[in-house]
Amino acid sequence: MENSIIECDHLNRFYENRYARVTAVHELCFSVNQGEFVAVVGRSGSGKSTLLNLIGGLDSPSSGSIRVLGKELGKMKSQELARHRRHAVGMIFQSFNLIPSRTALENVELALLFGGTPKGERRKLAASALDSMGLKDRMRHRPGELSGGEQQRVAIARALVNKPAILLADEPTGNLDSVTAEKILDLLAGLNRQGLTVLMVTHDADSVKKVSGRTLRLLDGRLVEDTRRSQA
Amino acid sequence: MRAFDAVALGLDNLRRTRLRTFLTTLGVVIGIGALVSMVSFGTGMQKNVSRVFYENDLFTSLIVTPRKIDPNAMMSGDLSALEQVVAPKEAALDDSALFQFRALPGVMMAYPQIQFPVKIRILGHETENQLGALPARMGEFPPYNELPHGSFFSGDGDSCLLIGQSVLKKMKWILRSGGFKAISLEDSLRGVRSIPPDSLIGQDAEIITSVMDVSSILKNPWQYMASPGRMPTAERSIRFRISGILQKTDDFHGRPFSSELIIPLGMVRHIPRFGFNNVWDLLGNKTSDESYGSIYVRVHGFEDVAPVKQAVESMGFGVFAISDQLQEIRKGFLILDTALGAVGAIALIVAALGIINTMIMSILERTREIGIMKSVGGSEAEIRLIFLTEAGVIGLLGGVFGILLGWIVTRIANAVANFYFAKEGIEHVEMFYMPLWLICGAVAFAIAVSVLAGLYPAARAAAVNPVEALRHE
Repeated sequence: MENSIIECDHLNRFYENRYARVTAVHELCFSVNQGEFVAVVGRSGSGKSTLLNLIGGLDSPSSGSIRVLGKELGKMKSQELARHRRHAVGMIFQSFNLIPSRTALENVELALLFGGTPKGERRKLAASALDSMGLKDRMRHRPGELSGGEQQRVAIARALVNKPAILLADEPTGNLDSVTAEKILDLLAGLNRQGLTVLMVTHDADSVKKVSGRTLRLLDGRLVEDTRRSQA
Repeated sequence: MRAFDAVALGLDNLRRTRLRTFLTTLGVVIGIGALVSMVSFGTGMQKNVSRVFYENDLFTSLIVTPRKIDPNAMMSGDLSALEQVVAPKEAALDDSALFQFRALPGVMMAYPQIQFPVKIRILGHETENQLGALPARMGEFPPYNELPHGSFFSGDGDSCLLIGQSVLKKMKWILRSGGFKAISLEDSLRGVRSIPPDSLIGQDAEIITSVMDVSSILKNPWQYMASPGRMPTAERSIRFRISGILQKTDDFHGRPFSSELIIPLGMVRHIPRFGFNNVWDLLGNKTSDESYGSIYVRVHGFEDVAPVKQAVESMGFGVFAISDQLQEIRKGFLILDTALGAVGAIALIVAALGIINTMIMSILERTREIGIMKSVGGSEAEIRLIFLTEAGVIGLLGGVFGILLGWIVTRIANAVANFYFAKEGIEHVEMFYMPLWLICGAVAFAIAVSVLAGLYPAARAAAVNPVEALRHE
């Protein structure tokens, strides 16, 4: 566990209302080492996205412990969670989650805005991040003027502009055609090779097999399989 | 997040919904416009009253009466106050008292207030008016130091007369100064004619008074026996030369404690008349011809008012300081301003509801955006700040343009009011006054109200669950 960057111990997440209690994540115990590419797979409703949201600090556990970069997220206050989302992790989503009224550059800048980075530096860093995604000529375009693959690359640039240790990807290829999806997977694999820890949620375990080094399979919120490529 | 970035982001968000922002801001503009015009009316009125006080140097004026009279108690029907007035008085308000007043530190001058009814005849025109008397030294002070025509008398023994324009109007004259003077149809039908002021200056004026004439009873006793109500009076006449014409007075440009017909103080004793001069004489239970009904005391500065008042009161006299009344008037204006402000504030409350509505709509529309901002590291405080900034910007724009609207409204209202005033012969009056504190205060108030209105929507935005928000379509 020396290299563990994410540690979950008896992690639970329940959703309750007046009539029912739904268990999204049940007694999860696992850890992720730095530099790993982990695919979290499972059927729809198995708790994959909930797990990603918990690691990303968008959601809080009902019980158990979740430590990211050595810090217990369950005990963090909202301000600390925001700092965690800003610096420790970067997130990308199936639907890209870009602000339609803002340009690619402004969307990437948004992540730096909350960090209090001065405008000039913000612009420089955002442009550099987009450039590294091969979007130098698309900076002034709004999401609606970009293809799905380009939009996801803008989202990746935004997720990485604050240089996080972990990239959390929630079905990043779900809205893309197979060719573009493969390109995005290659891009994520390349980032992983550079040392970035990647946790990718997908319902399509086969598509991610060639890039991920480890697979966590969830079923009804429980971890039912934890396999590494060397073991597979 | 830096404050500058929050403002820039807020402005950018508002720019994205121009029409909605315009309509919401318009609500604040109307609210502030109403508030500013209402309050500026109150402050304008207050300024006009204060100006009358200053123009007439009333802050340095004291009226000494034979005994302390509380006008408020008198008005409220307090019998003890009335008893105090009619009770016999030991200290007489006579020349001896006058000299004592003049010797008090801080006193510039003191003179008896004398006013009595007379008939005046100039070039065959005749009317009745109160005649007042002033010492020649009053010509140094406003409003007598700058007469529109002619000059103040130079000596207390001069046979000079100052005449007011309202008296001239009663004599069916309107001054023609600097060319054509418009006479209203109503005045024209009354036979009012214009007259050049130069033709009046230096002109003789006959002051006619009534006196008791006991000899007429002896001459014709049957006449008085036949009608017992008839008074044995006779008219006496004395000639004065018109040396100056007084400034025009109206509701906003008054001349308290004075008359529209003024002669030098030293000339009063040459005018035969009845034994009492004015209402103070009657109220003051004037005991002899040597005592006065009231004495006007002028002090050097406002700071001398209180000590002189105290000294005079300790002598057993009553003192009426107009500056005391100003405090009461100011209190009244504060109430008026508050009432007017409250009317304007209602419009602003409606505008605030508009802001709340707009911002809640905006949050609903931007739920996903809020989720995105949170997912990239936006804290609750920062999200709150963004929305509060947007509300503040609406307030700032509404405040600035509201003042502009208020200014335009007050200019139009002032022009309309003065158009009617001019018809009534009232001089131009600035009814509205927009001091700097009102301008700054209105903008600050607009921002404060808008931010206050934005508190709930901002809190709601900050509390948005990012997971749910990211799923929001």
